[in-house]
Amino acid sequence: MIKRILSSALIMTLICILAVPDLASAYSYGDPTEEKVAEAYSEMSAKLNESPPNFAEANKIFASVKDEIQLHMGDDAVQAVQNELDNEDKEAVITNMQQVLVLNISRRLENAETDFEEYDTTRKLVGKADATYKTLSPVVKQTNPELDEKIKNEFEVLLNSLGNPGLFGVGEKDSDEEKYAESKKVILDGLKNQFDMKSVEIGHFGESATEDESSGSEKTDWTDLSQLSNWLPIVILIVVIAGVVIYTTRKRRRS
Amino acid sequence: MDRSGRYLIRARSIKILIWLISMSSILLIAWWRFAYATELPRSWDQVDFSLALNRFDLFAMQPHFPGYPYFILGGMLLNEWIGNPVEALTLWNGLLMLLSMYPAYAVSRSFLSKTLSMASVALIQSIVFVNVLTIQPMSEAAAVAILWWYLWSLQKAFHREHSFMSIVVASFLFSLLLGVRLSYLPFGVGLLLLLIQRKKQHKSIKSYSSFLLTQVGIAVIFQLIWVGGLAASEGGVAAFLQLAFGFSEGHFEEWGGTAVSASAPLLERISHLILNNIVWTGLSGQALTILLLYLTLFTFIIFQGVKNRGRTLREISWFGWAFVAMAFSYFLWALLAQNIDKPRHILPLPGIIILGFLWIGLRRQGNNSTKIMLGLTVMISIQTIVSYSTMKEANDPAAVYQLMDYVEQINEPVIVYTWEETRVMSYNKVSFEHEQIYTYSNFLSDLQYFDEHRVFLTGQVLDGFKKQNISMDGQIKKVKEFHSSTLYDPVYHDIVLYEFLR
Repeated sequence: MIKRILSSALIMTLICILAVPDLASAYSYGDPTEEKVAEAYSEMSAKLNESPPNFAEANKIFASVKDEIQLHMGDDAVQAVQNELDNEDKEAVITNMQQVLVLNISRRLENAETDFEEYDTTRKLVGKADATYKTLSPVVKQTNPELDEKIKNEFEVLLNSLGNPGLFGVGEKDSDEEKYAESKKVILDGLKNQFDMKSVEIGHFGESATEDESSGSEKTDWTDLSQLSNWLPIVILIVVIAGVVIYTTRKRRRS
Repeated sequence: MDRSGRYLIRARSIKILIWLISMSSILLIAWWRFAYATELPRSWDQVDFSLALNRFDLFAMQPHFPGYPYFILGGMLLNEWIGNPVEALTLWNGLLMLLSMYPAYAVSRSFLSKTLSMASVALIQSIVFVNVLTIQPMSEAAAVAILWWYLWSLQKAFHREHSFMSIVVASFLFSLLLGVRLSYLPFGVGLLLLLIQRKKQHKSIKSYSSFLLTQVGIAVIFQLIWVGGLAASEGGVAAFLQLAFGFSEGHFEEWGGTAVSASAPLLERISHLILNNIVWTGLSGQALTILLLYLTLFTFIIFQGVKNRGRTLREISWFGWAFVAMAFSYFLWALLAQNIDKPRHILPLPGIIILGFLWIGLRRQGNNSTKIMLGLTVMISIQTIVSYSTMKEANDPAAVYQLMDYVEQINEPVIVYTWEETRVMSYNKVSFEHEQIYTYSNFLSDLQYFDEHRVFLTGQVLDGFKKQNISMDGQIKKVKEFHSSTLYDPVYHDIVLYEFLR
């Protein structure tokens, strides 16, 4: 018996450790709202701010997000940044990248509006837009602290206007599409002026961009089934409990 | 009066003494948990939990993954009339801890007299470290409270060998446990052993496997309740899974970790875990008196056991073995898969260890020396007193709050670069700029936006830079140190503030 008990204890521990891989190293959790383009911008500007500016590294970092920028913000956006990188014009690279980030915020917010009733999608997109803004925030704050404050507040409004399913229904909030649209406009207009852009619609850098269903790569078909499958466990649970109760009462009656 | 009469009177008075001390200890502690509940979050994790009560949002790390749904749910409901998320969560801890008296009593009762079971409950309830965590907005204490119920249900189930429902109850309590803290998963070994024990009641493999299938199915469904609730809170299963994978890709490597990181040699980890986390912090609450008392008590119990030829291995029941197996599994888990910089991860172990020693040393019927009885009353009283003086410190400002107060008094634009303190600062909406920074190059590039600001860095940020081979000697000036309790702030109890001189 002892042997069996000890071995099962070991197996259980092993299962736990295998089931949760890398847990030991995940002390500080990763951030699911992380936006690759925004991260790349931070890293590039860190490299460019070295003295002398490290264009080789910046180029490498830019190459890692080129495809994504091309897909969502268009060829011209990539070209604009790439040209300045080739010209080794540090300021221009940074300015162009900042405009790319503004476009990124715009596309995330627009996409969220298209799928407004899908909380799982909207929450993620707004999270990514917010993460992108956080990297831009110090830039805005430096010249226009009021605007920065305003945009940060509007992001809070945005988040709340998405509604919230709550936890087991507690804390459930309805979504408010009108409010969302208002806040979105405030944010995008503010950024447009701040970064001196003609438009934040796709194609500021040119007209070639064709925005496809941008979240398509992240959103697979089975997301749509999720609404239904959320309820499945509870239904099964009720059925099983009822089954057990009926089974035991019947047995008792018989004996 | 003859000798036996005097002996009886003495035995009875000791009994009354134990009851009195235990009862008053339990009542006082229940009251102090309420009176000294923390009012402000002291750490990143505590902010995560507190924010969750206003808007449950795993995406915004309120709370962080895996969501602790039953813990947050209780807090949300209590917060309806408390109005302070931190206090609502601590109250929830306190309530659950109070309720856990019953299962702890019942489990003790299986090998102890009523009087000694009461003493056992008082001893377990007055553990200093348990109380420290009960009055903080963290899920550990709630989980330990539910763990007692789970242990109780297991004991019942091991005992009633033919009961089907008793297993269902145990597996339901196990789902509550994981719904409060997923990291208590290793305690599942108890449930596993329960299923193994039932094998001998089944004559054929076929009937045993259908039994197994049903029970495992039921257990899975119970767990799905909270997983389903979480998934719904994220808008769907797919979003939830994506989030889960997003979170487990930690960023640990980026900046080299803390004092005793995952890369520390195993031997160092083991000794740190046992000596510092379990014995010094968990059992003794970092108080020398308690440490010495426990050492004396345990030595005495073992000595007594040897003298009376103690208990034999054959006396250990199925439940006893399951108890040992769970404790051992959890210990291994805490060693290999948990952050040992944070002693709170060992919270279930002190109570389990105490119960184990009582089992070795004490008997149900008489035979217990008056010395041990008196020793127990002393233990309970001292632990209660130390718990009191420790809980009273709960609202002394944490080092990070002292830092915030200091910086807020500077009447110039200021930016402070920190590690995790930044989350506490944003929770309190401080008036100065603050930012989490790990890498030196990000620091330099961020700096350009704060030309007009005085720049401050914490010691940890500098240590992080040092690990990246960046020395800032000559560029920095030490400004001030802030200190708080290591019990309440295991990682951020010493904060040194430096000013960066451009």
